[in-house]
Amino acid sequence: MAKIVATIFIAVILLSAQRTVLAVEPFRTFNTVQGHSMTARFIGYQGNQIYIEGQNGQRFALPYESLQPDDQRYCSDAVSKKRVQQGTPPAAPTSPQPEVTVPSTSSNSEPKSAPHPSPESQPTRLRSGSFFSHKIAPLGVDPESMTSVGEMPAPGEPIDFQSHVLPLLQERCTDCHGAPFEKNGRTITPKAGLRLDTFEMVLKGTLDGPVVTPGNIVESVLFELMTLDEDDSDIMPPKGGKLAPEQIDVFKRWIEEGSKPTSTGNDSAGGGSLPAVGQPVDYESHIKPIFAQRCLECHGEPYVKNGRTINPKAGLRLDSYELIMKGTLDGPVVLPKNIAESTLYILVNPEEADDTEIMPPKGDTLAAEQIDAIKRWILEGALDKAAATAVDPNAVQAPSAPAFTNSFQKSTPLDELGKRARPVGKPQIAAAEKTGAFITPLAKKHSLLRVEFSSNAPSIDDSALQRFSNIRNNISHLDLSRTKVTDRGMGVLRSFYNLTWLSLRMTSVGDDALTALNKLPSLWYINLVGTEVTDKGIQTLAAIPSLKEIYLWNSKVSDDGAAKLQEALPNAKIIHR
Amino acid sequence: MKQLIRNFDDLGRRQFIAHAAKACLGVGLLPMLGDKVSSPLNALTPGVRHATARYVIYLNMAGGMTHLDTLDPKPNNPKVQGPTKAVQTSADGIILAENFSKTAAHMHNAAVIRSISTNQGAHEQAGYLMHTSYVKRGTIVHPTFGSWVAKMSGQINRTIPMNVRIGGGSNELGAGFLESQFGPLPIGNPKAGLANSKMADYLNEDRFGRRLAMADKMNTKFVGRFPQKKVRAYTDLYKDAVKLMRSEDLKAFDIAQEPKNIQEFYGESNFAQGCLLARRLIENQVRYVEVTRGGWDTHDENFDRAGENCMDVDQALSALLYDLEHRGLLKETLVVLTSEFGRTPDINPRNGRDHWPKAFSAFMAGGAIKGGTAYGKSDENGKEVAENPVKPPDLNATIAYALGLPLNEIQYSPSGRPFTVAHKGEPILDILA
Repeated sequence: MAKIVATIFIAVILLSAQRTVLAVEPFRTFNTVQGHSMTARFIGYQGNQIYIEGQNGQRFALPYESLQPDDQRYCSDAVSKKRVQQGTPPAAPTSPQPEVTVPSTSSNSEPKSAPHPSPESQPTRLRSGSFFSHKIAPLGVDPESMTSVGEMPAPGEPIDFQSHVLPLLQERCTDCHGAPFEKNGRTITPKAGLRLDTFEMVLKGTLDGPVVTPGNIVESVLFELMTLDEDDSDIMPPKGGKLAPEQIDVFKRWIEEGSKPTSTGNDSAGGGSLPAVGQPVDYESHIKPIFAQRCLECHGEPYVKNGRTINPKAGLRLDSYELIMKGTLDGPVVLPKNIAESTLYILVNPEEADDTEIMPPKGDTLAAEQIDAIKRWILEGALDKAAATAVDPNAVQAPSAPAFTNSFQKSTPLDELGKRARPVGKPQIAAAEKTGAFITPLAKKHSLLRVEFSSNAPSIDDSALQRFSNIRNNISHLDLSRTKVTDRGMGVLRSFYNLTWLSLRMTSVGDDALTALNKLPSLWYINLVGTEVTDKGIQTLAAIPSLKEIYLWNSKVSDDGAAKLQEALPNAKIIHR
Repeated sequence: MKQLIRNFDDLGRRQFIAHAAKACLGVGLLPMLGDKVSSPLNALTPGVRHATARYVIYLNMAGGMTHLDTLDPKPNNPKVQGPTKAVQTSADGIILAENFSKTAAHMHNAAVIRSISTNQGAHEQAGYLMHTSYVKRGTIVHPTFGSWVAKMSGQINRTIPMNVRIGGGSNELGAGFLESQFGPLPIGNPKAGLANSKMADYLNEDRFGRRLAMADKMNTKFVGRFPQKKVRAYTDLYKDAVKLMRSEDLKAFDIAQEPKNIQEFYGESNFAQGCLLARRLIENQVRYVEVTRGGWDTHDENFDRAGENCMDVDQALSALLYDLEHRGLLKETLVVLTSEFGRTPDINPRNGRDHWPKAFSAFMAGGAIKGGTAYGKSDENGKEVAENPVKPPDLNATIAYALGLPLNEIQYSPSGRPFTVAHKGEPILDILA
């Protein structure tokens, strides 16, 4: 009730204001109650409709109530001091807008005007017939005459995403392929996981991959689906008829021209332009767009989904400079001038991080130039502005050794091996345990396994080894002691690449068994106590430089043989007699 | 400077708690921002470390082993040393008493700790502290370290218990508030093996099966009405016992299966045969075997009695280390020898030594140990700790750390009180490989 009274009161103020010759209002940031923000200037009003003009000259109308109290105060102040007059100034007509839409701040055309984009921003749509939802048309244009959606490009004119493509998408696609929204307490997510409401989302495509291949209409699913026959079950949009030929032509031309984002005259469009060689990296124009494009979905502002607050993963937010430098709860992820310990750099660099930890976890890795830009930015001091001088990224080499120095981890060689092995699932382990083996990871969440037999060892034969093939890359410790394995069965060990520890104690294996081992790169322990191995067999061991401990007690190896082996492997501990 | 202040500013909740834990709970002595350097607390995080040892053979010298005449000789101080001589070991700069001359040859695989200190001077209380890491009190019975190990490490061998105690020891030392299945399986006489594990002569399979079924029938109602851990543990005990009775693993308990020369190599005594049995058990993946050797309460004739005890202990220990190494098992086995306290450096009128918990020693060997190290020092008289004091919880934490057990994982007693495997002891990283 109070709100209506206030509205009427302000409307009265606004209507009672008189026309005067006005100076132009400065640009400022307008914030809406929904949390959107935009840099624009206040240029006029009509009733309780506020007209603002963005930095690129585009004009928007929004209801007075949708502004934050600060902005409302600013507007009433400007009106009461007669700095702004009723109606819009007769400047160049802007492109027609299909609906009353507060521009989505994640929209690409306004990267500078969105200092704090909310990750799940959603265009505010007003119910048709709503008091505030009149169509906005440039002054002098009859709203009812505006039937065509979007501005049609002239032949030969380059297609602009914002003014040519996006309006078509908003008219025909974003009802199903828009930002997730709440309805009846449930989150309605975009169909096929595809969002077509911003440039980044269009290029990102579905979970299966991109729907637009720049420069290639044949491989662009988006284009293919809209050109299908009208009775095809896959045609898009599925309702409301096929797009008009000239509209399809807009898409065709846009893709053929390379699916470019809107040019704002500033090179920071898209996924961030990349700094030229020798040019210092600038956080705002080079780094921030990379994060905005690839990271903020998980590392953005907390938001509410299905009534639950979704916090940024790992407590890490990458949506502002301060938050990037703050890092995670465990500590900073960016250490200025130190790429070797900057977790952020390590995790986006496929040469440093391995499969399971690389960021972003989905989709392609960052482009090489983007990784390079991040590297240069960190080397230049990770400042929030461009550094004074550029740094040659190749002057400092990231150490290739275990650079992932989580403070909670003292990395051992086994941990390093483990990071390279892909973890196996419970079903594979359960299948392998059907042999009677007992299989345990070396530590919690370690991908390497120890395989051993207990009471049942004397009944285990070669067939058990065959059944480890699904986990063979994960077995680092294999205890076959007291089993019935034979030389023939040992052949499969050839492909157990991560085997480091092998016990054949008290088995009947002999020389031939060892030939399978000579290609194992990390084998350091072998136990041949009580086996049939002879001097001939251990010659194979002499060719395995990784061996550190060899147990030959009670085998058929002679003193001479053991001495020769010791000569070949001077650093190994050989226990013979 | 700005960067530094920012670092302070941004101590997150987790870091704060970690630091607070370090400061208040005594689990770390590093200053704020200490985790920039490697901190012992890191090791306490469950699962980050893979085990460097898998099995423990704990040789318990019951009665209070004289540290001066075994692991911590003071050859330059005849007043406290008495007639005992010292010998060089296979590790440079480390000497042992001549009583341990065979073991001295394995010192390159072992570490000796000479600065254990407690305030428990009575056998029962001191033994309780060494075994449980907690001071004995009337309100609760703490689990022994072996029970913790059994509880926290997976059971590999599914028929033999994970925790075996050979040659006596107090019955009070058991699973404590943990489920009884984790308590030690007692074996009185290693030569007799597992007593009463054979089916009685007058029973055949059929009759035995019917008896079990009947017992089961009578139990069903009770178990159904009281679905509690303790009740289930009781029925599980029957199942485990029957499983073991029929298992091939019973052979593990039978040292008669060892060749004669091996048996002689260890020695004839109960303790020696217990060490041999311990080796057989860890070969069958028993995690924790404790072998007790009594007779160390040498209030009279300390030197003669210590010499006699050591003939037995030294031979068995060195044989065990030799045997384990040659079988390639020493890498994964941690052999610990210690006692509930040491004995007085002052020799009493009966040529004996009395209880002395203020400074005593432990011997640790095996793959997890950095061979040839001596940690901590007692003073020149062997009376006080001069350097790097170690408490029983620290000793147990060291073993637990080598086994890869999570030192900070809390187990609640039935009364809801929190306990950890080694009572917040700090592992001695200096002696671990």
